Amino acid sequence: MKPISPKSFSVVALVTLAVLFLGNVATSIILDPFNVFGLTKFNKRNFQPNLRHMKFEYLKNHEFSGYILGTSRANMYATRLASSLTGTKFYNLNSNSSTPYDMRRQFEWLIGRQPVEHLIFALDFDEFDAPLEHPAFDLAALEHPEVSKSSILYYWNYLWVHPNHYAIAIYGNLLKRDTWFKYDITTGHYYFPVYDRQKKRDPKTYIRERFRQNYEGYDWTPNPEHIRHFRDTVEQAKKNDIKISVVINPKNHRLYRAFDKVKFASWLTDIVEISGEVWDFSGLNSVTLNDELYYEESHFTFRVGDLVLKRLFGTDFDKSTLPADFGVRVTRSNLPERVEQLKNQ
Amino acid sequence: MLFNSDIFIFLFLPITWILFFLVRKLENPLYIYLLLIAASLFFYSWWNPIYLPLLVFSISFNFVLSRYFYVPPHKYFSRRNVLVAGIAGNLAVIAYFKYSGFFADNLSILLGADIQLHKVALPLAISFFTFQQIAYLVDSYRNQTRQYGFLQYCVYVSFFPQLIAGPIVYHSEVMGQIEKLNGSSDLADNFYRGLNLFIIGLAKKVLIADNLAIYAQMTFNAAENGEAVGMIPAYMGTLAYTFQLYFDFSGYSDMAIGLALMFQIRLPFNFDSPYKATNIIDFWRRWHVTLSRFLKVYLYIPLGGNRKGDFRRLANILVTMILGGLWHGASWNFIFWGLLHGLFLVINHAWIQVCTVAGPGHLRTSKPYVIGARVLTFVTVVLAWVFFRAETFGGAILVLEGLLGRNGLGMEAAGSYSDATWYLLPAAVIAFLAPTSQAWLGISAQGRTEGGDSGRVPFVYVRWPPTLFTAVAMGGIAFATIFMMRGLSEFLYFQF
Repeated sequence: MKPISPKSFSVVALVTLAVLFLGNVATSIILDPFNVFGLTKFNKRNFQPNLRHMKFEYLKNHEFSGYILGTSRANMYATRLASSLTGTKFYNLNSNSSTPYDMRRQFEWLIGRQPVEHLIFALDFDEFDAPLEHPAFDLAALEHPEVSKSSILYYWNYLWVHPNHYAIAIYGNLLKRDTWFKYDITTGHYYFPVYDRQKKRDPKTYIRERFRQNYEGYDWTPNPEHIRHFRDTVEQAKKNDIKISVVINPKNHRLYRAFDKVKFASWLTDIVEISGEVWDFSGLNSVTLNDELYYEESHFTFRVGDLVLKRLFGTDFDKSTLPADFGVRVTRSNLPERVEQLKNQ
Repeated sequence: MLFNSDIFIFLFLPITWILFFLVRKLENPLYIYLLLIAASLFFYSWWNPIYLPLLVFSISFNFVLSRYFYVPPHKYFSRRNVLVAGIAGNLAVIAYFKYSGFFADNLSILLGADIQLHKVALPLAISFFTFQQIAYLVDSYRNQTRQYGFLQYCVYVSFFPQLIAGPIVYHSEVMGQIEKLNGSSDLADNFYRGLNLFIIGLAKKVLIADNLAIYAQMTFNAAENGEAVGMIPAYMGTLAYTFQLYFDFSGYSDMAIGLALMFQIRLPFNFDSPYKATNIIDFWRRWHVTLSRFLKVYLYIPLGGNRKGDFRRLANILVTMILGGLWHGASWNFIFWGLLHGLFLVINHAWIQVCTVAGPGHLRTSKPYVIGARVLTFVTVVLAWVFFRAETFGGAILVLEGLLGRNGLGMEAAGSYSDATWYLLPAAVIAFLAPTSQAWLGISAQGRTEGGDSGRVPFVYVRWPPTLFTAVAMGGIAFATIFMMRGLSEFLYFQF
């Protein structure tokens, strides 16, 4: 091939880089698999968008008076049931790998925009161990820039979507027959339709194939910064006369058994000290020991979510239908008893 | 600011270069110096502005002291005393920031007391800019420098491509170039070579080193947690680290040299295919070349070098290598790593003497000998890296036990390393068989330790020929590498 001058070489190399970059920028904006640019509405199913971003965009124009905050597990607390039991119009603001720091920022965004009556905090021991900030390349979990008060560089991350993500989004939306993942932005919920069908059809095979996580070597230690953020959030909520309900999520026994019980007890103590009253659904009980009520070790089903909501807000009749060993109201007075009970399990 | 970050690649570098291009047109070097100093200080303070005054103080302190050697000495302050004070001042700063905690911890153990010092963060690049300036002071004392202006000196020390992790440059290599920055050097030609070198370095770091890091981390973290390391994890982890370190640091060096070239400054090369070395002496001529030569010129030779008999020579080698180990970090592992290399060098020198006196010298050039020597050198270096990488002595021992097979094969953990081969194989092929980046780009190997103001780095010819195809390919490699850069990682040598 004919040699070119050093100057031409540099120009061609840089122009190539620029063309590829701009091509990728255009693809990122048009396909928008994480649904952050919002110019097209291509991704509707089978590719997990940045639901946090979408929810806060939605909430800019829609008002609710109650919010459910927590990780993806909090998704299973149905807003319809919560609303009907409490009379408060709830929105499920669960977000992927949400930490107490995330919840604080989300809460502050909410109270800055609209009146809030009721908050349900759905807490997970293991999420208190997470780093404060999500890595920039975790595109499905980055906080909305208005919530995190981050710069325009937030959008820069979404201009570098990997080609395999484009491929998965195109395949999932246009070609895949089954719907594995879908979401409803009006309630804040997401669903696993195929898993639901598989569970229903053959629960034993489902459990055998889906419950495979090995937690050996895991050692979660709550980050004091997260504890501080949770304390600040609760204090702010109380100052604003917002009703709060704090729930310790019902962990599947396989995950719960991997926790260091001393650290868990200490964490529970902190949460009760901060909140005053906590509904604890952790530990080993007839629900958490039943794998059929879980998608995998980490996520319970809507059926479990309903049981939790009924324990919190249900009528006496509702409560009489619940498993007696599921859910303990823990306050400062019965905390030592509860800790002892969990230790002895 | 990291070279492999968006902010550097998309904002800092293009803006700085465009300003450099425009300022050159003013044909007044003063503006170029001011631009490069401002850019470099901004680059440095991006990490943590709190240590910017330290850098500025260090530069000013050493410049003022060096000027003393050009005036008739005061009767109370001999030149030698001023030099000693200068070196002591530099070492005191580095001792405080880098070694005080280490010494306090060890004194506590030794005396059975609880000596607590206020913990301070290690200022970025302190080892590099301190050593560079000590060399300058010594050379000024020896009347080997000229009276450079303050701004020129600032550019020499703070020049952002080499400020953070070298190469450690001599004034003689760059000062002449800094003086001629507004001259009529071939901007397009240097930019072209610099751009290529920068992209190759970035690719080494992002595509190879960062991927290998995962496997090295798995093995060494397990060892640090006190877990028994199986044979497969031990070998995979240790080899992964061996190549990670090489591609990380040589990638960084390529980027630094490439960036400097874009700004018309030729820096000395730091790597010359070190894993092709046939003995440890050869290895240190190829690995972190600018540090090796610094230790030789400013430590080994002043200690007496080989001028005071065999015993002193061997002792000097050991002392130099131990201090070289300590330079990398305040830990017994680094000291032991330095000691190991010192011992390897001593054995190497002894072997050469044995061969010279008693052995058939011609055997040393035979192919089987060379291959055997390469393998032995590589194995030796790899074993020493275990102490370099491990955070504790106990961790290193656990990995070594794994290498010796004392904990079985470790099949249960082997699955986690199955993808490592995809990175280890190409890394090994490049490290053992491919030419260095500079050779690939046709930059003379002579430049590996020299280069500099006399312009002695001849660009013989470019083996990556400048054609339309290679230009498009280089643009594509740059794009792919920047794409893969999403998970940002620091360069290993930033910590030293």
